[in-house]
Amino acid sequence: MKTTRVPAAARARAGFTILELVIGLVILGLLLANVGMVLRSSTAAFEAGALSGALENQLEQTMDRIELAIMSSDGEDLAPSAPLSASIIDYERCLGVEDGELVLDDPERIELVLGSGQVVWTQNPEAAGERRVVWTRWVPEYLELELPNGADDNDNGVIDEGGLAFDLDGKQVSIRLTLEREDERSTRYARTRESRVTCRN
Amino acid sequence: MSAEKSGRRRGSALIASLMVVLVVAGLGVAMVQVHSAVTRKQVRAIDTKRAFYVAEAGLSEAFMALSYGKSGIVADEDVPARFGDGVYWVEATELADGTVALISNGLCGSGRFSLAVVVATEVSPMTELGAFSGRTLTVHEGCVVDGYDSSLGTYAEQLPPGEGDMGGGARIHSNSDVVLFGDRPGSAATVQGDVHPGPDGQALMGSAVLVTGSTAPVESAAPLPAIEVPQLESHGDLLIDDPDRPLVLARQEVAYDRLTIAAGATARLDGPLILRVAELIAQPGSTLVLDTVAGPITVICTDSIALHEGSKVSCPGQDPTSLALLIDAHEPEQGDGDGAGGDGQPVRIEASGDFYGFLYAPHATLVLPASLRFFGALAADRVVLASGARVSIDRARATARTGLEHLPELVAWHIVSLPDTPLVKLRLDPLGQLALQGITPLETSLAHKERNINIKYFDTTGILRLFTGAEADFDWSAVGVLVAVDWS
Repeated sequence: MKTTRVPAAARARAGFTILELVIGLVILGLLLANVGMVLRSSTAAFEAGALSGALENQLEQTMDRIELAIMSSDGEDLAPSAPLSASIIDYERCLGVEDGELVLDDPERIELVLGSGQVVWTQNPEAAGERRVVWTRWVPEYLELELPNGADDNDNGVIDEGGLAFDLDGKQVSIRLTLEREDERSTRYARTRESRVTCRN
Repeated sequence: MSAEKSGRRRGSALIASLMVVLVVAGLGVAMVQVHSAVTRKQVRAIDTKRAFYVAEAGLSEAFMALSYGKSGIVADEDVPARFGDGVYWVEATELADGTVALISNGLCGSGRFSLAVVVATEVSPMTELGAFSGRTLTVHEGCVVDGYDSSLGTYAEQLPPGEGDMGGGARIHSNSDVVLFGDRPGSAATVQGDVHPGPDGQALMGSAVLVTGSTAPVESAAPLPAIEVPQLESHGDLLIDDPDRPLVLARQEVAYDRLTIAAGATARLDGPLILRVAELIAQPGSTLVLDTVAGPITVICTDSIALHEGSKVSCPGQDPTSLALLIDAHEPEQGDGDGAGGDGQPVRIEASGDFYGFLYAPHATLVLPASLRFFGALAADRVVLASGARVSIDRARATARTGLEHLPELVAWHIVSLPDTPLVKLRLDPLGQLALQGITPLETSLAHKERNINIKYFDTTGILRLFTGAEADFDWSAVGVLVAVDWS
């Protein structure tokens, strides 16, 4: 049997040529760049989705709370009186009937606290035993697409309404709420909901 | 040896690729988890909202059931009623003050909601006000107004021994002022109870007038509802002039243009009866008997009524809750010709005797004379209680049929805590849970507690009929005018 010997010089030359290395590095660079872009876009999409979802949830939850509170209240005791539009509402929730008389809970208030952008529910406002709960944050000073210019920018029939706006019409209340957040890339996400409820009492 | 080395080198790219894939996959899994958590929350919120609307639907069903005279109970927790993709049941409890509390439990998907309302049933907007006037109500000297409850017995049975009146219970309301005359003790107007003027009105009283209750004005004016005039074919004019042959109208639904009771003659109306008449005239010396012993009577006068001085009215049943005299006549403009009253007034009640019932004239002035002892409730555009008139307001009249359309009145609406039942506690789809137990939720139409009906009615041809049996077997389109209904 005859064997072929590889000369020592040839063994020393084994490996990549510079061209191969360059091509390999370019391909690797392209791959890494691609992976980076995919990672970046998927992270951005993830963050955007998570932020939007959280915002939607928060908005739904807050609106539900506000709607139920107003539905349970006595329409004649709502403040401010119609037809004013405001970012604050005072009401008294009905607890039932005793001896033929309507039994109302302690006075409550829902308001937009400017600066902190919080919607705050208060029981016994400005009185002994006051209790405050923050229902949500991220409420802008003005409703989505509304600017402080004395005009109805968002074409909803109300001028310069706040990020939380109550519009009273008899025993009916229109509620408008915008939540707005910014991500790390300073992209703004805003969600707005509007509903109209009737005080049942 | 060289081949082995080359094989080892080939795996490094795979590892790097796998790591990248793992990172991306990890991000994907995290995103899916976040999204599913968000979706779960949203589904829960949507289910809760749907459960809320199912509970509201239950309340509406029970509310309508109350207006039909049922108890308001719809299905129960063991076999609830189906509505859309959810189920509900409504519990009803009669409260001490006569109101009914309805609690509706709605279940849909994982959502649960319980709502409660308190409803005043059978509230008549007019009769609960006692004596009511759309404009100024006048109470002349010597007039005495008190109140009693006919469901507890007759007035005479409830009158305290040795007393001339009940000493309380009167209710007088007006959308404007209430004027009570009397400056001389002993002959001034007396109201044993409350006098409520309108929101901008006052109770203007003579110095010797006695009002034992409140004189606070009401918060809002009460509208006078329109009278629903039944569509009946008129039998033309009818003159009753034979003293030996009294006219008897009984157990029917009938209409005349002009019904005249001549001097010496008698007209006897026996319930159940619905009489529509354009003009009702009782001449001096005539007698009108309104007997509600066997059933209720509703008389609707569309143009005018004249019960002349010297005529007599009697109500042997002595039950103010069973008689309604509804007068749809309009006060004439100045210069109009004579009505039946003879002086242009469409409503003249000058008869003597006793009247037990509800007297209603939303477009005319009603003057109640001293000669007619009145028990029940009255309402008119303008009410005048003449000198010496005696009026006893019946509290039971407030919950009786008036012949005027009305629905139960909502007193309160509120959210209540969920009941502690297995179906509610298991946050699973109620339809699936019930199916596992072999239970099919009821259709709403079959879910009411009361399924049998005992009904007395005039059919569309005017014949009085009775029906007892399952409501499902009853043809409601055959009902012309309802007389009475009981559910069981």
